[in-house]
This record gives sequence, C-alpha cells and structure tokens, in this order.
Amino acid sequence: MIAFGRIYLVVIITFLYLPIAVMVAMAFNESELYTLPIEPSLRWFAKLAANAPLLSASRNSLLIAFATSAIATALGAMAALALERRQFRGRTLLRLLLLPPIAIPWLIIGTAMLVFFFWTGIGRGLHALLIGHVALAIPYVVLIVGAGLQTLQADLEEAAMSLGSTPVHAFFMITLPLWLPSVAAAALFAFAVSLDQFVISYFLSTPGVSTLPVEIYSSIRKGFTPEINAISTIFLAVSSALIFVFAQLSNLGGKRGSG
Amino acid sequence: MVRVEACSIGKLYGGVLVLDQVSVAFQPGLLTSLLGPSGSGKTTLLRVIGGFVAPDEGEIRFNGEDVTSVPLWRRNVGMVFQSYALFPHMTVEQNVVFGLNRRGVRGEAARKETARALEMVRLTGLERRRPKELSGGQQQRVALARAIVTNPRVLLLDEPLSALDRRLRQDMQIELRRIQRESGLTTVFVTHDQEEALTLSDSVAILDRGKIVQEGTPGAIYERPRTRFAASFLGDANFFTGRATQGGVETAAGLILTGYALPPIGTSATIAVRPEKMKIFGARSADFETSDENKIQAVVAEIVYAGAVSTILLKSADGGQIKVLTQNREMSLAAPGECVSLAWSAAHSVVIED
Amino acid sequence: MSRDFRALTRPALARRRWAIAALVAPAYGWLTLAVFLPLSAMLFFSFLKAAPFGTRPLQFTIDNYLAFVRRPYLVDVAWTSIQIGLWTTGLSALIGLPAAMALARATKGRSQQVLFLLIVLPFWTNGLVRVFSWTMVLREGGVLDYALHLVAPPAPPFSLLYSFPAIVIGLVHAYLPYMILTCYLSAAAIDEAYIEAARSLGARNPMIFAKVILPLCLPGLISGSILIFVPVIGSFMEPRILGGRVGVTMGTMIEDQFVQAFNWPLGAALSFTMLGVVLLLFGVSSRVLPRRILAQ
Repeated sequence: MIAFGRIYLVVIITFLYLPIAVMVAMAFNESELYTLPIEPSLRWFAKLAANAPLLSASRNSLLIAFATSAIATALGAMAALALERRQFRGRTLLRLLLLPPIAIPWLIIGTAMLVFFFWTGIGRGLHALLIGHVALAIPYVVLIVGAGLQTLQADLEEAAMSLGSTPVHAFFMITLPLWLPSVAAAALFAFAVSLDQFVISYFLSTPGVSTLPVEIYSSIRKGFTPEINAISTIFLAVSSALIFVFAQLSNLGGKRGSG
Repeated sequence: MVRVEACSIGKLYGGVLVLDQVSVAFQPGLLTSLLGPSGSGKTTLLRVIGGFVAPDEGEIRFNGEDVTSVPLWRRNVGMVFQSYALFPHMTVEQNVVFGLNRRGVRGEAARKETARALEMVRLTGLERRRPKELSGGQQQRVALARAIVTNPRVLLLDEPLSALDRRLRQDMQIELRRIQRESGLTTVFVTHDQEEALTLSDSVAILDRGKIVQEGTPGAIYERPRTRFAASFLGDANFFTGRATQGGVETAAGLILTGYALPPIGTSATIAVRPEKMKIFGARSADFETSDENKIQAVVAEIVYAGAVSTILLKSADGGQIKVLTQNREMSLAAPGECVSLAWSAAHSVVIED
Repeated sequence: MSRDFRALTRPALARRRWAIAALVAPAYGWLTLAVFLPLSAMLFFSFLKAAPFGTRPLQFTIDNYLAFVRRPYLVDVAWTSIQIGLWTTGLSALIGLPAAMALARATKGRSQQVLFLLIVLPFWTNGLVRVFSWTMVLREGGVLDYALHLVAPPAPPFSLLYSFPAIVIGLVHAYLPYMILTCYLSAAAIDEAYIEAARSLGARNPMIFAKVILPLCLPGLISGSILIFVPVIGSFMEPRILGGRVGVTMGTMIEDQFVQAFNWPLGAALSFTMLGVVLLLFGVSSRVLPRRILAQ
C-alpha cells in the first residue's frame, strides 16, 4: 500500500512538472517550430537580448517587485504589530478586511482598479501597477509577519523592560532581531507575488508599459515566438530560487518554543 | 534591604474587580508568598508591585517612597517569569549581563558581577550556552541569576517552579531558599501550591477573589486559620458547624470544646480541626487514656496508605466526613467498618469565620 | 462600587489608541484606495446606463443585472464557466486527495519535506508560463502528438489544444497543488490512534477509509474546493490561451466588457454577480467548515 502511494506521488509530480520540463527543453531547442527531437541551442536566449518589449517588461516587473516588496513589507509589518500585540475594539474587523484582496477573484479586483483609477485620473502605468501590487501583497505580509510575531514569547519584552530597557530599546534589542526572519520571509513572498502577478497587471498596463507576464500573454495571443520559452525559463529559475530561500527562512524563523 | 508595601491596591479588568483594596507589607530581606487559587489576583498584585501594570487605585511604596508612577524600567525590580523569558538569541552570559549593561555597568566589572551571580545559582561554566541548549532547571537558574545580578530592590517570582517535575521542584525549592537568604533580597513569591508556600516562606498572604484572606507566618496561618477558605486552601481541615454554647459548639457530631473565643451564645459557629491533630482509639489500640477534651465516635470508611503516613476517612455520627492523618508507627490502627473514637485537645479546635 | 477608576486610565488609553491608529492607518489606507474604493466605484458603475465619462447626465438602471434575462447567451456562458469549475474541482479532488493521503501517510521525514516542497513549488512559479507550457504539450507537433506518432505512425496529426478538455487540463494542472495542500493538512492531522481504534473494533481498510479517513479529510476537501472553484469560474487567461474560440467564459466575457466592448457598467454588474456567487459559496462553506481558517 505504501509503495503504491509513493508511486502515485511520483506520477503526480511528473504530471506537475512535465509541461514545465517541455518548455525548458524547448527554450534550448534549435527548431523554431518546436519540432522534436531536440537540438540543443542557445539561439533563443540570444534573440531575447534583442527583444526590446520583453526586456523592458522584465525590467518593469523587477522594478515593481522590488518596490512592492519594500512598501508592502513596511506597511504590513506595522499593521501586524498593532493587530497582534494589542487588544482593541475593531481588531477582528480589521483582520477580516485583509481577506477581500486574497479571496475576491483577481479579475474583479483588477477591473475595479481599472475603473476607479480611470475615473479618478490616476490612470494606468507603473504607478498604478505599484498601487495594485502592494495592495495584493499587504494581506500576505500581515499574515506571515503576524504568524512570526505569534511565535515570539510575549514576555520577552517585559523581561527586558524589567531589566531596565525602555519599551523602544526592548523592541529593537529583543523583538526585532527575533522577528527579522519572518519579516525577510514576508518581503520575499511579496516579491514573488508581485513578480508572478498577471491579472491585475493586465488591466493596469498600457501598451508601452507592462510587466513580463502581460507581455508574454500578448506575445502568445499574437503568435508564438520561441523567445517566450527562453524568458519563461529564466523567470522560472528566479521564482524557484526565491521560494527556496523563503522556505529556508520560514523554517528558521517559525520554530515554536525556542527557549 | 527594602521594605515593600502595597497600599489599598485596586485593579479593574473588564468590569471585574481583580484586586479589591489589597494592602500587604513585605518585610525587608524576607520571602513572602502570595498564595491563592487561579483568579485570586495574586499574579496581578505581583505585576502591580513590579510596575508591569498600573493599579487603578492605591500605591506601591519602596522604603516609604511612592513608586506607583515610576515606570517598570526605572523601578529596579528583578522578575523571574513563569516561562523564564530568557532571550533566545543571546547566550547565558549575555542574558545575565543585560540588566547590568542597562545600568551602565560594563566590561570587567560586569563580567565579575555576572560570574558571581552564576556562581550563586551554581551555573558556572555554562556562560556560552544558548537557552535552548539548557534543561528546564538550568533555564530557571539563569532566569534567577539575571534577576538578582542587578541587586534589585525587590525580587519577584511568578510561579517559577510550576514547569518543573516533582523531584526537581523540591530540589529547586531548597536552592531558591538558599539563594534568597544569601542575597538578602526582599522577595515576593507567587504560587498556588500550598506546600511550596509553607516550605519557602517567611510569611504568607492568602488571596481569594481579589482580597487578602489572611496574612502571617506559615505556622501561624496553618495552626490558626481565620476562615473556611484559609483552612481548606492551606492544608486540610475538618469542619464542625453548630450553635455556640459556653466553651464550645453544639454540633450534630457532639459537643466540641474549644479554647478560643466564640461568637455569642446561640449563634451559628464553625470549628476547624486539622487532620493530624486527631488521634484514633479503637479496638486495636493499646491505650484509651487521653487528656484530650474532645472525643467523638466515628466509623472508618477507608484507609489511604502512603508509606510514612496514612489518611483515614471516617463517617461521624451525623454522617459528616472526617479526615484523620496519622503516622504509621504501628501497623493498622483500624479497619474499614470499625467503630472508633477520635480525640483531640480543645486547643486544636479553631473557631473560624465562615 | 462607588469608586471611579476611569479618570486615571483615560489619558493612557487615548495615547494607546493613537499609537495603534498610526501603525494600522498606512496599510489600511492603501487597501482602501486600491481595493475598497475601487470596488465601491464599480458597484456604483454597475447601476449606470453608461460610464460617467463625458458630459451626459447620469442615468441609473438595473438593466445590467438583468443581463442574464436580456441576453440569453450569457446563461450559456455562465453554464460553461460553472462546468469548467465543476470539472476542474472534481478532477482536482479525485487526483489530489489520494496524493495528499499518500504524502501524509506513505512518506516520512526528509523525503516527505522534499516531496511537499516539490508539490508546492509549481504553484509559485508564474501561472502564465505554466499555461503556456501546456500549449507546447497539447498542440499539433507538440509532445502528445509526437508521443502518439511514436506509437502509431500513420495516425493523423493530433492536437488537444483549443478545446474544452484542454482548458480543464490546464486549470487542473494550475490548481491541483491547492487541493493537495489543503487535503494534506487535514490528512496529516489525523491521529493514528483513530485508525488503530477502528482496526481494533474490527474494521477493514475500505471501511476505515470511508468512515474515518474521508470524514476527517472533509474540511480539507471543502476548503480546497472553494480555493479552486472561486478563481476558476473567474479565469480568463487559461480559457483564452488553451480554449481559443471555445474558451468563452464569464471571465472572458467580463474582460471583454472592459477591454474590448467598453461597456463598463455591464462588466461591473457581471463582476458583482460573480462576486455574489463567490460570497454565497464562502458563506455556505464557512457554516460547514470549522472556524480554524477564519480564526487566523
């Protein structure tokens, strides 16, 4: 029974990775029409370097991802400090308000943003993309950072204060260092969320300013160009690396009851 | 050595009066226990004394000086938390020296003080370890060393032994006592364990639902409990309720004589007798001669054997349960179902308020 | 109780409230600007006859919400979306639950962690990229076609692309990890003691599965189903890329209103209708599920 279970898992994992493997293989395939068998070549990566729209979209994606990560982490961490550490009326309500951005289908949020930004003159473009991405990332940050705070013993700061630390000193010397792995993990998560975001970006992009996923989508709709495989492969490698680091950080920061 | 006083402390939490006009004095250099069931307010009182939480009413005084408005970080108290609250990202040495650094003591002087404190708790040699590498007992000692190294005005302990297993607990009780005496710090110790309170304290204050029920030395409270609560919480007691007469109380189990002051004749009165103060005389006992004023009949219900002592549960004439604690000097003083006599002196009949 | 405690605590409370407000305001202000106000604006739009740009006066109507009555083809589109949702969710459950159980019970320790990470990893790679990679597999001349011709050379060119099954395959591939994750959390939490107890009472494996394991995995199945069904009925990217002309769903319809037809009020109304369905589903499922998820 156990062996059967393991085999089944391997089958599932094969299913999950098959198309991705195919795509990566095609990125290194000489043939323009994706004909098999595979002839190894770096041709498409070279062509990629000359593909201006894809490159500029990649730059935008990275830029926005960095900015989103920084802003969302800062805002989300502050909010989490209040939500986790303090009891106050309306806390449950605030917690519930974090759900809509995650629970409501992105199609609805994306179109709503489009409508509202157009109407109020905010418009589309890099600034709109940033506003949208940060809004999506904030709930995730609050969740991750909040969970990290929960694993911290509440009386550590009190102990520091009893030994002569002012509240501020206690926060910086005790809470912050122990909290940092969670904050870093959240920042990474926000980065990944922004990098992979498609739907919202789709509605908030303009023909000149878009992100990589949106650009890939347009390219697919217009017709296949193999550079898409190349850039997707690079993209995949970056995302995987990020998530790997995130997993490592979560393991370090999230362990309960450490002393 | 600092004299600590809590004066008419009141604290309200969400509509509940957690502390109600509580006044206690903690003598300099002595260990006072705050004893009570959960919810009695003892931990809250401890936190008010330390400055972790501000009282809604009343004052805290150190050597007569009002420190109620002095914030926690300037009050110079040493606190040992129930969870120890050791800083996980610092070594033992860094944990202990933390308070010293905050007070401006650094370098060689700090290291010397730290070494002295660690020696006092018998943890020399573990300076470089992290809290998670230590056992529960060791963590507790580090917490203690950290609290006393700064020579605080008062040492506060919040049920510090509750996380330890029984054998370790007993060992630590003795250790704690020694350390407290050596350091000479005025100490407030919170516990719900009455045996712990009896073992460690110079003085005990019993709390129930936000009020001080009784205060005094362990012996005084144990021998002369003032209320039913105090009598039941600290140790065990047999209660006899009836009408007060001259020199005693007329109860359904018989006339109980007492040497203590009674309420007016005819009113309701209750007497408490500790289980170990009663002697059993029965079919198997050698002598029946006793100068004890009180004698009643009872039937043995059950005998709980515990090696050195036995607890004997009996039913009195009116059906009430009586508990007697006796040393097992002789084998089997009685057997279940036997009718025996219980005797105790009037001096051990304590009149209590109900 | 004649004493008034409040006078002493009021200034401290006020200071705390300011501190909390300052910490929370930036994040929630951002969310208001980016999510709550836009949603309100769209709700407002859904009741208009035409988008309020330009000089014409505002005209209110509920026609947009009656779109399903006025335009019967929308019912077909909605039905397609629901079918896609049901197929995707159903297949994900069928495939995912055994995988989750295998992961929870047939593996241990290090290998369990690695397998878990492998299963979760794809769903953090770019969704668009994954859908695109399916076109490589399904199209004429793609992997499936190639494999088929290896086995049966004379067969005609085979393409699964631009069909209903293609859409479902792509969606299942994208969302399967959600189901495996939620079911795994439920399955891993099953105390071995329950199974042993059932065995000691004489139950055999099929019975143990039906009466012990399945009911305890139910929360995972339900939350996984919600996590999958909700985004899927709103999806437009996968239907378009994998379905082509066949891929007309509520998602693509709504997208059309905003990007092609510029009938924003209709798009808004359709969106809110879908949102209504989503909220209904959440409401129903939260009654059925324990409160664990909301308690976070």
